[in-house]
Amino acid sequence: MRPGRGEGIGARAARRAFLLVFAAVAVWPAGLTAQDTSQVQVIRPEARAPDSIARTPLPAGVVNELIAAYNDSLTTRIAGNHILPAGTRHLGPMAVFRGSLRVTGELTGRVTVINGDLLVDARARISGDVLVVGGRIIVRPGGEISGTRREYASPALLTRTSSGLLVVKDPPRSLGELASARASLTVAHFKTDLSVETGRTYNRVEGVPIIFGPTITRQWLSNVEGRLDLRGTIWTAPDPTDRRSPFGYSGRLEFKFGESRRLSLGAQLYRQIATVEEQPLSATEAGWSAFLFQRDYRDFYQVTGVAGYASYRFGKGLSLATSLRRDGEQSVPANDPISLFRNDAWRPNPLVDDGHYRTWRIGLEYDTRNDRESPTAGWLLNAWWERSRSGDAAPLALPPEVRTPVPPGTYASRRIMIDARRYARINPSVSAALRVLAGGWVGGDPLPVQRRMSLGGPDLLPGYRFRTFNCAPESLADPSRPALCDRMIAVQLELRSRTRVGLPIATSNTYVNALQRVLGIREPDIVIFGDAGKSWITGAGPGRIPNNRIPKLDEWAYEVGFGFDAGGVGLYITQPMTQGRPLTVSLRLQRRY
Amino acid sequence: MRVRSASLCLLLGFAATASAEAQNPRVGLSVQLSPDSTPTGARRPRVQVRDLIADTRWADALEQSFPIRLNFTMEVWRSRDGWIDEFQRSIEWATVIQREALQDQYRVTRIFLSGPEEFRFSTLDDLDRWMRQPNEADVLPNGAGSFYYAVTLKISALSDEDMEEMEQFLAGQAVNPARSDRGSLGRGIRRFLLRVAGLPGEERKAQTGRFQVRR
Repeated sequence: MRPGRGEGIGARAARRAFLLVFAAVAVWPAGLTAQDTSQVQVIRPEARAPDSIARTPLPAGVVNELIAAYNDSLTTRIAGNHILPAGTRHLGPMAVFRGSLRVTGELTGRVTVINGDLLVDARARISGDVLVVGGRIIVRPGGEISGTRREYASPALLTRTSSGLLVVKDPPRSLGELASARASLTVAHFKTDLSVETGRTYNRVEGVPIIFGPTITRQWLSNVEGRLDLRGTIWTAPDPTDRRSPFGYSGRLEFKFGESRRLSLGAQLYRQIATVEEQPLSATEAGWSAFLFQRDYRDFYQVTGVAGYASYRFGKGLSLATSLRRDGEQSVPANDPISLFRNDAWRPNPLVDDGHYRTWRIGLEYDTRNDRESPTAGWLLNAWWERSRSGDAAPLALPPEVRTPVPPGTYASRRIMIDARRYARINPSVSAALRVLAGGWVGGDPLPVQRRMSLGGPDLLPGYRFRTFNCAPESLADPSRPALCDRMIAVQLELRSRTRVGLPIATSNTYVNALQRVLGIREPDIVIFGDAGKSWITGAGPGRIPNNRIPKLDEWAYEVGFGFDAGGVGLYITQPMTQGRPLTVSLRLQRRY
Repeated sequence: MRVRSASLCLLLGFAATASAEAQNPRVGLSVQLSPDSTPTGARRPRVQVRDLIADTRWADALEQSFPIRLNFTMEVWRSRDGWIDEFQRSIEWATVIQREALQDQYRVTRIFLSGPEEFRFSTLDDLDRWMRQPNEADVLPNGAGSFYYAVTLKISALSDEDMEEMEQFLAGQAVNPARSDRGSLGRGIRRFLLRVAGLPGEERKAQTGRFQVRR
């Protein structure tokens, strides 16, 4: 109806009000719907169960009975839900695993239901004993069970093998452990685990280390646990020079004391390949880089020695450790293992100061992080001090800018390393992390080559090429690019926030899915970061920093960047702020720190 | 008149959109504050999951006998005058919903630190009604100041591996079923299995307004 002239303001206002209400109802977003509070359930998610009502585990006898009943060759075995229809009759024992059994017909024989319910309908009948574990027995009016009934609410930790038999389930294995084989046997109080596995890395000295041998554990003692690890190591990269030994080994005897095993004492005998620096990448990432792109970011030497150690866990994340070891340390060459996408010459492995070293180390760890893989709160502090002496070391001749010649005789030095990290949440969606890594010479003679350090590379300063700051003078044309600095310091700060872009990608493509699985893809964090660092030669002289000083801030290298961290893979773009260097793109297979 | 026609079209458009959303609702999460009932003014959070059963993806998963897990993580935050708020603590719990095909009923296992609670529902409507009820968590902030709660809900269909883990927990083994992030590899494998099976997985976040706690 068209409004007439006489229509008043009130009618128009009423129509507008109606339209407004209609619009409001029509477009009211679901998220703004008020809560229906007519019935509110109160939950107590922080309440803990008193010990007196803690769940009791399934008796071992019942577990054995389940396995025997299911694996019996006369038993009809069923995995998953099953229904016995009305009008049918089953003769003989029946066992159902991880599923419920509904009986509407007639069953004569023993019935075993593992991790499921048994439902007996009206007019159904079971003539035999019934055992239900991890579920309930429900008999509807008119249904009948003529044998004994036993019911346990606690589920049974069993699994089905490929041959269809039940076994006690072992703890789940990580993907890294999938590349290994294990077997165990127990005799009296001694449990022996035999294992063959890779060293989970790959490098130009060893290739893939394959580690095998037994671990013997003394069990069932309340105040002490003894463990003997015997391992042999096969290095798949052959060494044509024979400077590296043909195989490695390790024997370790360790005792842990106390009910909570806080105190550990141990001794070890070994011959293995050690790394010069624990950076710029973790052993796993460095291994992938070497295997795929022939870029080995680490240097190595062989150690043959004996060590004793002790550690104590104080609780709340704090532990102290000390070790004393005597090592024969010797240079080993880079060999020629295959690389997937490049097969040029490998970077030579630098020489080290060969000799026998006695090293005493004291270390402290304080770890209150809320999650080891993706922490958002807490502290991590790793710090150690060590003193190293040698009576027969043969120091290499290094340029005088790096190290003055070391006189023959006792060669002793001290150094420290501190890795401090703080993780904090700024608000529910943004977290921050700060890391300070510093270390190096603190006293005695100049450091041996294998105790020196550098900066530059994908971890600490990704905007700068590998070992851009290795303290090698220009006159030293060494293609192995050894790390020659006495000290280093690096500071990293980052902010991260979770984004929603729909990862992992929903696809039926098997290869994409497998890749997403291996990389552990999740919704990515956007990461904004800034790094700064400096490495240097300490002491008096041109180009050196006095022993009692940290370099001025204008001598440090700086960079800023951003990236995306999608769990097992991260992509970062970094702009160095010094030396006029270009943008750098780096790919990581784990969180930065 | 043109303006009126345009407004009407706009309204009808909105109405049509809203109607389409109403036909295919998506699961939602809301968290609100309980009434002010304590002497200090502290308020408890009320968490409500909406439209889980009405969301056809989850209803279909249930009908296909895939258990659904809802992982709740509630965080208590102190709001500061500056831009960095203080995280006080987080609390987790989980709810697992399964369809018992042979019994034609739905089993809900709610898992707290104190242990599991089990509920059974004979119809989907009963389950839906129960799921829609707000859960008031008996959680209060420590100290005085301005606070708020942030809740993250991760919903996923469970693989056999997850079911085994839940069995392990229910049997008293040392795993935390409320914790969905068992490490990137574990998470990746689980998602891989579920993606292959074509099952959904999603996350919802919500937070309350701020409230003052007096000394």
